[in-house]
Amino acid sequence: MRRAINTDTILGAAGGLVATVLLISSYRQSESVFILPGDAPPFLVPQLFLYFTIALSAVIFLLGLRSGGLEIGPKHWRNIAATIAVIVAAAALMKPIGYLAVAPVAVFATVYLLGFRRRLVNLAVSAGFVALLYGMLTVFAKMPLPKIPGLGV
Amino acid sequence: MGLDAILASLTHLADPFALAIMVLATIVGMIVGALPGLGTVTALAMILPFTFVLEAPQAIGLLLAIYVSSVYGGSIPAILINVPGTPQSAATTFDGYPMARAGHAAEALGWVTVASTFGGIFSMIVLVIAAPQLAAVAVEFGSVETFALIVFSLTTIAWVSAGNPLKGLLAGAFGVVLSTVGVDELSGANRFTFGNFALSAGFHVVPVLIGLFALSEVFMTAGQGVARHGNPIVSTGFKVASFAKWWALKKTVLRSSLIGTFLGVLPGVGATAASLIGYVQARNGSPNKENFGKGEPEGIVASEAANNAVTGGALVPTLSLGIPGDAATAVMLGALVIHGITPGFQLFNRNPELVSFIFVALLVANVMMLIVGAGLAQVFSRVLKLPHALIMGGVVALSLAGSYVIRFSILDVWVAVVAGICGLLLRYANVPLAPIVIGFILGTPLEENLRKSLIVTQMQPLKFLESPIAAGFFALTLIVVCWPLIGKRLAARRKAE
Repeated sequence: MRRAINTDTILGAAGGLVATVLLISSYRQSESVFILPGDAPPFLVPQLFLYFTIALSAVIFLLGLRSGGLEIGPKHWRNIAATIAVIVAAAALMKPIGYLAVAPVAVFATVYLLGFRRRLVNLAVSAGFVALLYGMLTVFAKMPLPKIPGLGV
Repeated sequence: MGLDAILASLTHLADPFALAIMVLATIVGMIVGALPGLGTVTALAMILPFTFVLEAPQAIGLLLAIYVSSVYGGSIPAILINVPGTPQSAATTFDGYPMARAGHAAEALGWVTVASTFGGIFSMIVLVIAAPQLAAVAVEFGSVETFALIVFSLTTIAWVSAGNPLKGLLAGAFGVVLSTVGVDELSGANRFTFGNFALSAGFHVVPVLIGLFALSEVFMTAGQGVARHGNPIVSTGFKVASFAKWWALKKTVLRSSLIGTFLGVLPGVGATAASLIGYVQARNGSPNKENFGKGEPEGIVASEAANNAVTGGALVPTLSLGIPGDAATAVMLGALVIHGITPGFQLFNRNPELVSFIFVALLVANVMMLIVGAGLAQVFSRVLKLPHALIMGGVVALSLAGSYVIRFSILDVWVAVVAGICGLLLRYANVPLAPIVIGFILGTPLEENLRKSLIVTQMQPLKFLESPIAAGFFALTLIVVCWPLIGKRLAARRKAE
């Protein structure tokens, strides 16, 4: 699990790539924009900051190449991937099947993945906390959350 | 601040509902501050969506109570388990934990609570005096000067934030770019929406905050495996030292409060640096130097008065200029704007009642912190025994609901998830997250003022330098950026001599 990763080169490359893509896109989008005479172009600020981001990313990339890898310590990568998958699934299913159906499962799974193995306590806390939060938001604060189809909650 | 305005603000606070909200917020703030890994910004980000149903004064009272009490809350685990709940309380572990281990946890909590309250109230007084003066100066600012001020603040915050300054600047620049997504209000142009209608409204600050600070913390915890602290929790209570003992430390309390308030006003320095500087200054000036690190009350008082004094100090530029001093006040600024309040001279001029309310609410928040801290110290030690995994589960439930209810849009939930993944990767790459938020929040006024300035100067940016105020801010920005290089040169020259 212990890995040395040159995070600076990855950050520099990723930052530079994202900024370049956005910069190209901004030039394409600006072609179809009509600007009044004397007005500042709408893409001026993003373009300025994207050029700045590219320059900074290049410096970070080059400094990263010179300094080598960075030990980021032991990480449970599978655990991270599984937790992200749980949250992504919750985000994807929240609208179609409702917050009350998705959130307790997501909370239970996250708590389990984080190492808490007392399942009954986990189940009670996950369901109880989500129900309390749902009640507070929808009843007390009048802020509707996605409902379970056909159940009205 | 007129008497009428004070009376009006007291009327708001006399409302039992408003007071109950502040008490609850104080408790929540202390708990979140006490839980290692969460902290002030996370607490504010998770609570912010729930303030939408409140009136502006109630929401401000709630957020101020959370802000103040979460900074204090970080000191509780620093004393009881030798793990600071927030980075601001790191210096409190030096003497707080040894004192608790020696069987004086109750006294340590007493020193911390009273010192924090003093620091908070001291900075509140400075805020009351300084903010209107600064706002009066700000009335002279046109778009060129405001643009220069934002550039100076953003650069300073990014440059001094943490670790590698280049990464801080990269994060700040990225935050500004993020703020430009959506339809441009002046020209109506779609920017970086890629044909997605939902993106036309741009990103909302709350999902970005929830993702960067709350969800990334959940992912970080997953990466560490089972999250447990190794140190036993020292049994506790609450005991305030005699007046004579406090009187003996008056210089330290005052000095640390001054340090904290001053550093709070400066952009980007923050409470962590303030508490460490306060601690070092106290140790250097103390006749009991040798006792520091072994449970010396002066050390606890010095760090805690300083870190809580930052709260009022950081609100000075936030309220008077609309420029946040740190990530927490950036969230506060975002919250004010969401509630239709624009900080700056106009706020002081047109809405003195609200300004007075903010001052009085800050005072009340500090007093509540003292009362709740004294009354519930025993409870907080129990909270620390809660399994960290369960707390993270709560963060997930709050994050999903909180990011959705902002605009009742599932896109905001996705924004939070993506921001969470990005936040995790950026943390692993040692990129500070605070400059992203500050860049995001200051991005809109920065763009607005730059474009106005360009129109005024007929697209000639060099004319910006004709304004002495703007030229001064640009010069300061240059000094801030070049200072590390100058410092290195000077150090090398001294070494050579």
